[in-house]
Amino acid sequence: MTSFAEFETVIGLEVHCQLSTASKLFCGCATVFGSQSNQNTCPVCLGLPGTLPVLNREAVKKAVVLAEAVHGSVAQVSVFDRKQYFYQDLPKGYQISQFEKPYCEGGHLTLSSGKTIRLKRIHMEEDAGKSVHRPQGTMIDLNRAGIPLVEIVSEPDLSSPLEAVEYLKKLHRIVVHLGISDGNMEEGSFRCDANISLKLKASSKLGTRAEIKNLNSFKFLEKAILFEIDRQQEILLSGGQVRQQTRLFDPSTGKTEAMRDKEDSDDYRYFPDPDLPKLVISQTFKDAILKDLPELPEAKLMRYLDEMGLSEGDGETLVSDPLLSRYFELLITELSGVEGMAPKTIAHWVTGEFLAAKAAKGWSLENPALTPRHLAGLLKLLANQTVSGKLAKVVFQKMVETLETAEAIVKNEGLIQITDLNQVTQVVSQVIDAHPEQLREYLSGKDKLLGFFVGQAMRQSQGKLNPNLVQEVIKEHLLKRRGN
Amino acid sequence: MLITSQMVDKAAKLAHLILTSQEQEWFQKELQSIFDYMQLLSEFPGDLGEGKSEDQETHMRADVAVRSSVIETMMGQAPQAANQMFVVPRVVDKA
Amino acid sequence: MDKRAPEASKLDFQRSAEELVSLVRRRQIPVKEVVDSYKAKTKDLREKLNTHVFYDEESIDFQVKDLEKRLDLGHELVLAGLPILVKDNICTKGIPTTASSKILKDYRPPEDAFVVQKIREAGGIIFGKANCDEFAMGSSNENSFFGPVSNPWDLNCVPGGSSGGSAAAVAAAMVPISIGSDTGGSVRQPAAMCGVVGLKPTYGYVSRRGLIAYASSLDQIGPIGTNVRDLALVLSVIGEHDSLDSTSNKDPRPDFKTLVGWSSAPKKLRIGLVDEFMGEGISSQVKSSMIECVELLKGHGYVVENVSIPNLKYSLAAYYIIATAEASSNLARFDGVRYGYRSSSSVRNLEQLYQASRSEGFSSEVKKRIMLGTFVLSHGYYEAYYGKANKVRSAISRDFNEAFRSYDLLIGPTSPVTAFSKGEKRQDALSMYLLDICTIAANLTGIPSISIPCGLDHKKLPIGLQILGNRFQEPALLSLAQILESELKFSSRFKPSLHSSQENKSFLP
Ligand SMILES: [Mg+2]
Ligand SMILES: [Zn+2]
Repeated sequence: MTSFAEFETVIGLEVHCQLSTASKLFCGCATVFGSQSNQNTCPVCLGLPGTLPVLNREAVKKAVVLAEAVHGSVAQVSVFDRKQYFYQDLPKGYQISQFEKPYCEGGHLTLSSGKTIRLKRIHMEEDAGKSVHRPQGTMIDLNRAGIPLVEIVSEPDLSSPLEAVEYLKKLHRIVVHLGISDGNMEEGSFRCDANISLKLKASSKLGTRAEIKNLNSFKFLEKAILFEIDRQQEILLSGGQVRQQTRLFDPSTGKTEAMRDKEDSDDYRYFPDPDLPKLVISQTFKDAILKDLPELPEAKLMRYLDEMGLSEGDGETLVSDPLLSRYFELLITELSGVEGMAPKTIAHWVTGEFLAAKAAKGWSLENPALTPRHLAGLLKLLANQTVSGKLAKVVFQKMVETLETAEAIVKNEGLIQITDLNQVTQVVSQVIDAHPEQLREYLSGKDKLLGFFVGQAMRQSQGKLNPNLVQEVIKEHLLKRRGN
Repeated sequence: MLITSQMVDKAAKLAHLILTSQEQEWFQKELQSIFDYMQLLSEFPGDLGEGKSEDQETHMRADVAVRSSVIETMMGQAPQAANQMFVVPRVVDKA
Repeated sequence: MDKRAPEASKLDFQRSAEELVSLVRRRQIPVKEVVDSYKAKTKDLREKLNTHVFYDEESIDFQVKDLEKRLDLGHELVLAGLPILVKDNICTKGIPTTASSKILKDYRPPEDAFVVQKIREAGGIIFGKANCDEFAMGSSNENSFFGPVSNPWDLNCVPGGSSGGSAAAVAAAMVPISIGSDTGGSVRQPAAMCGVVGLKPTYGYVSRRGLIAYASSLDQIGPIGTNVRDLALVLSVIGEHDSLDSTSNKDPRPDFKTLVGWSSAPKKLRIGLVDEFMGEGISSQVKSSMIECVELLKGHGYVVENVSIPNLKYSLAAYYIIATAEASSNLARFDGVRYGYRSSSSVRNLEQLYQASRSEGFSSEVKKRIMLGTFVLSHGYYEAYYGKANKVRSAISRDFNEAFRSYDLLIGPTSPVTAFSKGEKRQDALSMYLLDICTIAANLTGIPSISIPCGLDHKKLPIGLQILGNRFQEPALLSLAQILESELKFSSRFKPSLHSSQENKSFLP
């Protein structure tokens, strides 16, 4: 009798990612989202007789960048094929895609666990249009028809919903980071199909898979896989057989439903599109593109962690958004040469205070009200100990509200840090005298109370005292009293 | 190769055609004679390498969005249209 | 041949397009006069021959007015005032373009084809749309939604196809120039059967944009006229690089307008007579006409030798696989959804709409080719047919390359037979397909080829001679064609009867 624990989940993802271009893959129509129905169409993408496709160079460039980012090998010669089937929103009766010879083969992504997920291939293709189903008929909008896509096909190396989500997030980060795609999942710029099957652990034979179509959020992907695992397990445990099916995930129910069985009659009759000569991607073409290739998120993360000593959490956060990491790096540049300001601290400010303020104020990362230079001003004051860490947070809050410079705020509000030994000593003496009980406990061996005195001194000075100095002075005083 | 009526049916299905029984029969006969002729290809020594060669540099265009104004005209001659969209009988299949 | 008309104003249908244009440009004949005389001729004959699927005098007059304005402004127009009939599978803005198919019965393209655009820019007058085989699928022009075209040399006979209307209209002097398309001989074969000159340029020479595709890797637009120089003139206009056709060749074209002496006889030429074009299935009269031409060329001091293209024997099989495979795909867009014919029979769902619209909109011949093409691409058969056909295609290309190492140009008949009676070959697909046996090689290999009339058979029907050159060797091809043309003096010796011969009547269905 087969039981639960004997199954292994096998997942492969096919990700469709829209390339960020101004015009479609084979015609000059705009790719903007949300236009009036059929406004972004022309004879080519309407599939009128006599029309011919001409390849968009920018789409090829973006596709090559992606190939490079995932360590795939770019084919010097690849071929556009026609994938033939009838569908109301497929105007030519075929989709121009790549079948036999995709422009990129192989490649891989590495998960945080160190596990490598192999890529089978990446190919370029055009998107289909959109159908709107009304009681009186199905309405067809071809604005999307011909939008440039890459389809990234993984090997079935993923073995859990979490791995699948991590893989998808990593891929998403790459395409967004490198400007390959806007990655907008609600608008369909980044969506995936998941092939899911179960196999017996003991066996090397793969099970029959179900293909879940068009998952357009990380959550949906996770839920759909979880549901599929349960569904397939139930079938297999009751001695049934999983059918090779195309299924659809319904977010409202969290279930997948069968769309149709894969039939033998699915015969796409691929053949090379005679309207398009072979795609030759020469070394020169590639070099020119890769010359300006931005740093890959993986490499950037490594640099943040290994060279800059950032915490993993901060590093991940910064790398997750190219604009955020740009903000961070501008800040680093502003603060270059400033002593006493470690990248780790800077990163912490960005992922902590800055992101919180950004969220509260609704700033965009493209154009945040608080610029890197602005924030650098504050961090410089922190570095030269004009303000303490605690005080800096106070100043920061004021900056967020008034958008004034840190210098101005510090000056106007008298928030300058006190580093004068006499003033510090005065406050420390007062604090110690005001807490005889705690002093006694300290003297009887409760060393922990050192922090208590520091806190009291800081509070009394409204945070203006230099905390290091406070600590030093208090220690000195207490030692003196111990010695007495 | 023997062309069966099932083969004719399958091709018709893929091509989205319905054939009259007369056409069915006639096509089967015609296709048979054409395929008989194509039998000649079996004499062709198959290992002469790749298909059409000449890898000319791929022609690509600059990524510039251009507005086309044909949609109004095309909507005007569409078999069925509403709200600037083409209309077909309701499709039940969701994707 | 070059006899002068007594008065310049009187139009002589013997004039070449080149002469007409120069008279118009020098304002020695008003455009209107040129156009009116061709209008009269068209009015006279178009119903008799069924050459046109669309003809509208108003639109012609409109073009004339526009042209006069441009001439007044001093525009240099290479085709000024030249009436040009365009095959109906080539898009004309706002003018019906049906490819002779019911499925596009009322289709009006929103844009001109590249060649039409170029013709208009050069001052040519689009003189209507020519009947043709539906989607250019045919070799007799009997497969048209608008009915068959008659051959001006014998009205009972077919004009050849698929550009039958284009060739017949030039033969009957309804226009000096027409435009056709050639996928497997569709310009050259009807030109041969109608006693006119037809050129299929190198693949990629003329943009295919706006040509309703039959088989994209084989299709090429070409001009039909009464003499070689006229074709060069038209080619110089329509043969520009088009950045919107990815298969349009970017190399600079020879400039026939200024190329001094392009037509002067080359001193030395090595010419190959293709063995495979002289074998079985070629009529004896066609063969003997070829032999006469060979003698003529030898008399000119040229070397003429027999040459074999061994893989040609597979060409027809390969051709029909590739052509129909591409056609099955190219014609998928005719689905009744966005434009063209949609069945009015009640359908319950989309699939039925597709099936009904396509089954009612396409003729049997088109359906048959779609089926054949679908079949050869389908799972399990692809390698054996489509894959193999492409290998044959390469092998034939290699053969030709080899031949062109030894010979400047190759010759042979254009069509294995002269025009035949309507209905004679309709029942047998293979015999019809065999009519393309001599012409398809140029399409499979992409090389240029021209057909010129070289004599009449015993039924007084024209025989065509074909010359083939290496890729982009149009200047050499046209030079030799012109030499032969001036030796043969076909057009001044023979005129089409515009009648039916008695003996052929019995073949009428
Ligand atoms: Mg795909
Ligand atoms: Zn478009």
